[in-house]
Amino acid sequence: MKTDDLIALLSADTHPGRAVFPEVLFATLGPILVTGSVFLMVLGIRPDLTSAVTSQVAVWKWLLPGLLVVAGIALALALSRPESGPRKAWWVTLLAAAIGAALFASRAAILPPTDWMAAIRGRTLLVCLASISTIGLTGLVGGLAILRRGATTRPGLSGLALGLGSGGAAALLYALHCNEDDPMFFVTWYGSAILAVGLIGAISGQRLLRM
Amino acid sequence: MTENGDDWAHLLRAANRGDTAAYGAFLVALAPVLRGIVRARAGGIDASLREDIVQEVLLTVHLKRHTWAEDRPVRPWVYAITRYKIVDAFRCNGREINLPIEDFADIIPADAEPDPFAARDTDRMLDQLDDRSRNILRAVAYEETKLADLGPRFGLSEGAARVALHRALGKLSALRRGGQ
Repeated sequence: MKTDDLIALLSADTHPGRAVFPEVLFATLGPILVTGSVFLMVLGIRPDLTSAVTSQVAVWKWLLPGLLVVAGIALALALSRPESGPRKAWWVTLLAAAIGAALFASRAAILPPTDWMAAIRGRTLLVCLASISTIGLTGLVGGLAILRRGATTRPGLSGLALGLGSGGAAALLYALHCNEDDPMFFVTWYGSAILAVGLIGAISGQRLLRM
Repeated sequence: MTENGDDWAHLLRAANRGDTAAYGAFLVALAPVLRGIVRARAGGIDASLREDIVQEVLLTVHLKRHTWAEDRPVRPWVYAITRYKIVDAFRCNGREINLPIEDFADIIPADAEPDPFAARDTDRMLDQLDDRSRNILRAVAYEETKLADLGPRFGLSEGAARVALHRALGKLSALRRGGQ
């Protein structure tokens, strides 16, 4: 086919493409809200929720994932335009990681090293990992489907951003149930689950988001 | 010629409001610029493969045109897609390439080669499409069938023919990506 013929073909197609925004928000956060609610109905909401959200340490279980939700989804949206350069919002995800590391370290500093393993292991690590990653993956799948309409030149990074945002949103909801407020526990396992969703996002983005 | 970025925005804005002639004019203006960039940056690749890259960029620009925001310049958007596609073509050939995008604006547009039996890719991919998609694309590309005449010919309403043409182009693009 000659290029002129292709141009004739493309000019004849008047069907408009569909925008990424705002649908990607619904497609990502919708499934997370639905599955998150189901998990919370089964697991229950912690009875001392009001004192937890005002506690200086436990409140980070919402603040840190919250940072990732905002930064991750903003990055995924920005990257869906081909001309977008390096984004400052990546610093926000690093900031969240740094705050998490600082919380972990300051707790480790006041615990005797013999208690570290027990503090990290906690009591509910399997439920925690399974819940956050499952809830997060539903958002990742929904969001990727819409993000395919975009034109990212960094498919892996786009998927990573969406995965971190989805994992963060899942952690945010799971924290309504989880009453393990030791930073050595939640930084480790919330962080691992969110990172796992992010990595799955990066790998699937690399395949699914290529223009 | 290289200062016509605003003309492009003008044409694309009109195209977004349903002006198909403006859209055709945009693509016609775009092709030689792309050809120039690909020739300057992917010179080691032979001419018909270069024309394949040009077609690949045109197809992608078309299918992703909604990712251009009307208040932004067109050129950085087009260059980003072009750069991505050239790098991709090199990667498929097992080579790395470093392409500073700042240089793209200075490149002189190029006409088609005298004998562009280009897009062997496009024809090869056409053969792999389902019958209806292939026939629709051929009818429009080679027989200059108008959208209004597509419907009766393929037993579709005009709206359905419109969607079928769009989907066929989407499938063609997916095949090209997968087939690389």
